[in-house]
Amino acid sequence: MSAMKKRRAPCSVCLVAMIALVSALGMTPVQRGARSGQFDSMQAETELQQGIDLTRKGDFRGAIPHLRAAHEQLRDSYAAGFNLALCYVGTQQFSEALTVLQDLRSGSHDTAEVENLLAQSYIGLGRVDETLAAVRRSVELAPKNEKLYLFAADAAMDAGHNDVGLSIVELGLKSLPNSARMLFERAVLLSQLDQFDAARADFHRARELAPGSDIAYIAGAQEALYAGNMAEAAKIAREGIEKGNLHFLLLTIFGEATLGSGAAPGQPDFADAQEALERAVTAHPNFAGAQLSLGKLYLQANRINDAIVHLEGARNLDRRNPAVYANLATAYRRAGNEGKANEAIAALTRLNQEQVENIASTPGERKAGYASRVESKPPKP
Amino acid sequence: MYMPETAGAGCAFLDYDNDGWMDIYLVNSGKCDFLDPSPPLRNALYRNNRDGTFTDVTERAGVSGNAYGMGIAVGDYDGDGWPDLYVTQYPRNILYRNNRDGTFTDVTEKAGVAAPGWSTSAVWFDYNNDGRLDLFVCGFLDYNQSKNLYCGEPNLRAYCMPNAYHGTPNRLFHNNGDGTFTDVGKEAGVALESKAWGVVAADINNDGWLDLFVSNDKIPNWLLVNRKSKFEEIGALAGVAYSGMGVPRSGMGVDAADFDQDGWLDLFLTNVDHEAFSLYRNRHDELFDDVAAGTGIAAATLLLSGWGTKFFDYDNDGDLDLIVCNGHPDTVVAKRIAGVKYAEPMLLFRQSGGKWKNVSAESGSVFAKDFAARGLAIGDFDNDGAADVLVNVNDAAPVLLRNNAARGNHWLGLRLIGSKANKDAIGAQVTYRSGDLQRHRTIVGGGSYASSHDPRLVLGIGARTKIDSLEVKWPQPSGRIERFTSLPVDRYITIAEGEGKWK
Repeated sequence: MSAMKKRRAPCSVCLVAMIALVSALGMTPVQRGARSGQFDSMQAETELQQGIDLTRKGDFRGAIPHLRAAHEQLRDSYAAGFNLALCYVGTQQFSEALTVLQDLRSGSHDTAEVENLLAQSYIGLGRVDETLAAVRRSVELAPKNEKLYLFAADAAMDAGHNDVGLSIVELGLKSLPNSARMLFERAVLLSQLDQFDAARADFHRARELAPGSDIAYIAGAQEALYAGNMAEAAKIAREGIEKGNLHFLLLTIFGEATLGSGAAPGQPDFADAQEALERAVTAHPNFAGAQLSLGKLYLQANRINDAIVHLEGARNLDRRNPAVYANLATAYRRAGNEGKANEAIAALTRLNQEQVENIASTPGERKAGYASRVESKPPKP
Repeated sequence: MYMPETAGAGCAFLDYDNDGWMDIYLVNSGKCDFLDPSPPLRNALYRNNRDGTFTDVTERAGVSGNAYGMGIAVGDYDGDGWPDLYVTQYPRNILYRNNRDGTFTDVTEKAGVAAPGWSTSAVWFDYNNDGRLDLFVCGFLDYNQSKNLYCGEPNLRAYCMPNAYHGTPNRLFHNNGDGTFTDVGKEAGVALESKAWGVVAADINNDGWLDLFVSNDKIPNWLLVNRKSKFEEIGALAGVAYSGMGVPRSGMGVDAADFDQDGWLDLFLTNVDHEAFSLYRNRHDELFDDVAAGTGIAAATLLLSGWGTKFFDYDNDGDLDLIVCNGHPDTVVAKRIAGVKYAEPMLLFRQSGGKWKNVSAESGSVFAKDFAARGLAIGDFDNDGAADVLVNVNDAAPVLLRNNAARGNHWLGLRLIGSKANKDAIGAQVTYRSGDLQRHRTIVGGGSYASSHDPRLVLGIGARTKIDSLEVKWPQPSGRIERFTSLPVDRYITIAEGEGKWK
């Protein structure tokens, strides 16, 4: 099964798909003591609190040592275990997350959230059957919790299992058929699977269900991108922002679409794109898409060192995104650092070579044709 | 369904009989291991009757091809003043030497340029600055009937994408000067495993050595920079290998020209649907920026699949414009991808002062028609100074577009003949001034897809009525600079290197 796992090459109109991968980042940390017993030591409590604070700020890497220290001393603490697992998932340390989550389950902490994190860990490890089983357990416990479906679907998309993500969202839509966010998520997944007509219909429906919302503007901009109309996408995103929708995805789409429309340094549109992307990065520093877009913008503005900072940030967050390395190579080349540029190109070459090998190992009738475009889909579980 | 069927064929404008009128060569499919057509198919050479009609002279000329045709590169490799033909085919290429009497001789074996396998585009250029034209041949897939794969879905077969197959190396044939060639691809550093459709030879770093921009399908494009006869591949570092997303695209047609008149050659690349085409502006340091989005070219081409393409000044206003012919590789694409068709319209972009405008809709009803277009060549077949366009089409008649758009504007046509420099003056740089207008033009090798172009330059001057000065910088090993004044307009002249005068 894992040999079939693919990260599909992003197409130029799938801007949302490219940048919607937020997975575990959206899950709220469990409060200290929410389900834990008494703390044995002040030190463990301090570590736990520091870990939770860092998790809230999105600094998962920084939180892990604190949470691990707390978890070692407070083995039965739900808060310590759950938050540690959350940070492991957020940093793509899925095996470590799995160990902690299985302990939590066996220790009578079998909550919908734990099952959901389990699903995200399984999909991160390419274990599709166990992913779906965990999702089913999660939604049995909380069938109307929209976020649980969305987190799991995002994780599946991030791992390249778009059809698994689609299955999860369709499960969710059975319980929540009028969920604009779920329809939006399905549209993103369908576009990843090149089912553009169906995706467009879902984007449209999401806009109807939540007019004036951030989702509506994001979906509208995406529809414009399908038509190849960057200028229209930028216009819709701008309108949404001006009406107070400051969702980091909308800000990022606005920045990307404005740059894609040809805004050049010195022009007002370019300055607007810069402001939007800087806001997106400030609002969501762990979102690789915004870091990447801002890095590209600075590159265009000839602010090479600033570009490198954000592109390196994007690399730390999304190490398997070829766009990061393509831009890093250019940035380092322009900074005169040919060694680093060559390193970035080597990484880019490796990622693309993996794709080539995946295609070569695909059975005959699954090999992509010019007219199929989906570079091989995992078989239906 | 066999992969070579997706490719289709190139075409050429050439003056095979040296009468001063552009003739036409059309490449066609033909017999190979998966096809034995009855009646047999063949290529065609049409002689220009100088009255807007042509006569098929293929049989007499002896240039019908003998396999599944792909492309053509025209060049005077033996320096006798008569154009020779290199025809790329699956699975073996042909070199036709011009006998100077309206006939050609197949000299492939003696020359050693058969390049067995599947070749696509080829280009004549002088890679080592010895004054002789060498030959670069694009390698495509390691393919034959026994290796043919089934792609697509079980209930809807599709043509495979090239990433289902291994590539083959490019070849660089060094001209030995005695009618033979030596494949120096490995030593020169160009024998990379490729899936190449297009190539253009152009000096992108102004060092006097011709470089190569090679488009590849589903692997990175190559920018082979010529470091004194040894090539360094810098595509990824230069920013032309991948899309902005960091993934290889389906690179097909290519061209090079200094569209922004900053003295440095820029590049153009066509891709397939949902990839957008790229206009690469030269940053002067072996780095390129893709500026297609800001020009409207990316949006206009997002759903198209481009093949033949060329920069040219279609309205003779002095600014370089751009034409692209399109057509998706797969016949069944409309059933699979919304908004994408097998046959697609051509596009014409007009440039003025660095601003590009899609003028297809106002440039004739032919731009509203759909074609499964492949090769595209530029040439002035009626000698009126307005560059015309020839397009080869899959499973249909070719299209010959007569240019009516340049009427009213003035021009000077220029044929350059090298002596110390290569005979076809590939790499020559021309600067001309007409009142307030100063422009540079460069003769590049090849460009487009599998096609070859009128070797003459047409220098547009708009409504101005005279050319004040003209400077020719001949390519190495000459490097000579010659200046001319008192030039005529609205006619063709010939400048032979070192003669100090025009004819």
